Amino acid sequence: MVNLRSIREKLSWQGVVFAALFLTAAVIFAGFYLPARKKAGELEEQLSQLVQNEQLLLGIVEQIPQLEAGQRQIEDRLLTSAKYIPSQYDLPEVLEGLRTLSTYYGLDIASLDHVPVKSEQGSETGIIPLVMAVQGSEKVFAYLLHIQEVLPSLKVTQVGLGYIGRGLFHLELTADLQVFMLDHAPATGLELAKLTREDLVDLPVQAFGLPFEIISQYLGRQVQVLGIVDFQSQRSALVSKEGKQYWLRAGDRLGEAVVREISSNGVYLDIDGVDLKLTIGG
Amino acid sequence: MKINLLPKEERPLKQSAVRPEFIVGLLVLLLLGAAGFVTLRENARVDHLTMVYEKALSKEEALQAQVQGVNRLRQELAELEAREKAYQELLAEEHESAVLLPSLLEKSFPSLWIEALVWESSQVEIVGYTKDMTSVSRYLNFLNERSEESTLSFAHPAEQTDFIIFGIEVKGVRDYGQSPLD
Repeated sequence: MVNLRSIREKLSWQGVVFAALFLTAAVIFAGFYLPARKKAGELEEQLSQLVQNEQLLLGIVEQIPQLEAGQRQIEDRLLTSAKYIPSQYDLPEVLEGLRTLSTYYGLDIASLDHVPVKSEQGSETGIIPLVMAVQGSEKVFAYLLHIQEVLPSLKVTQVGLGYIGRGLFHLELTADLQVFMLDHAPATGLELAKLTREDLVDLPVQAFGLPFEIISQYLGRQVQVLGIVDFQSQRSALVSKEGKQYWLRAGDRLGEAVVREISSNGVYLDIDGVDLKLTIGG
Repeated sequence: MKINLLPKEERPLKQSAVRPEFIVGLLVLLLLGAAGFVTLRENARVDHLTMVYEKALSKEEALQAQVQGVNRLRQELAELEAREKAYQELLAEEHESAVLLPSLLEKSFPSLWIEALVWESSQVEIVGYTKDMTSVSRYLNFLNERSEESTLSFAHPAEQTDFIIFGIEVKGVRDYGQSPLD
């Protein structure tokens, strides 16, 4: 009590005012300034984080022009490829192209068959197996090379080549036409290369001979020279083949064979490049 | 001589003296002013930072949207690259040996005729006939120069004739003077 009284005695109105003001200042500092400062600190930290993120994001966003340019380039390349690689819907154009090219090379297509497209589910590509037989001159091989050039996705799996005589060849081709699969038929983008030239890869006819089955028809006493007659400076030979008899002079044909020369004791035949000599009674 | 009988604290101050209450009051006022000033300034700073933060947030949202666009673009690019790869595989050259077939036929040999040939899987089978086995040997030498391996698979005389029917197997056909393709 003594202390309170002594304090009350010592208090003046100025002292109370000063204490109140001091307390107000302390409340402002602790209640408003310090929280504001804390919040500012937090905001600065978050801003710094945001700036870092922004730098990262900007780095990613800056790739957009480069990525777009890359996308355009690939799209252009795909567009170019689509001109050479058919889709499954382009088969009629491909078959027509093969026929047109054969006409260009003066060849006959004996057969041109295909089986429906084979493709694994979800795959972007498929295969249409083709089987083709072509007959014609020594240009058959040039034709083969040309179709591979015109249809670069045509994967040739087997080539059979045979000579059928009189400068003509028979080419059998087994191939897989590789196509890209489309969900629906578009306006075709396929552009088969224009026919502006002939490939100059001719087969050497002289290296080929008729199938030996044909040659053997003139061998082994199946064709016999029965006699040779000289009359008015012309020489003729009586030849028997398959039970029939023929009078032949040089230049005459006997089936596939051409009489090249008649000597005093025999007949020389040329069976499309294969030379045979049949002697009298031989 | 004047004698001041007032108590010491009641006596008027000298002109040069300052009351301690005045100094204390001034200090308290200054303290209050300073507290108010720094608080106001800090609040203004918080307001400014909040505004900047919100702007940065909205910018980040915009950038995030663009990044999603970049991700979509990358995905599209990956799909396009996969398609291009598939196309390139379609265009892969796998028929060189067939292209080189004429090189096996460019020279003819006396009394040797080729009847047919079949190319399959970079292997060529040649069937023909001859009147002279020496020509077959020469032809084999010729083929060996243009392939990795050429072997006579069969040779037998045709009945009642002087012809010999032969078959040759050629592997790894190559461009003459070049390295093997297969």
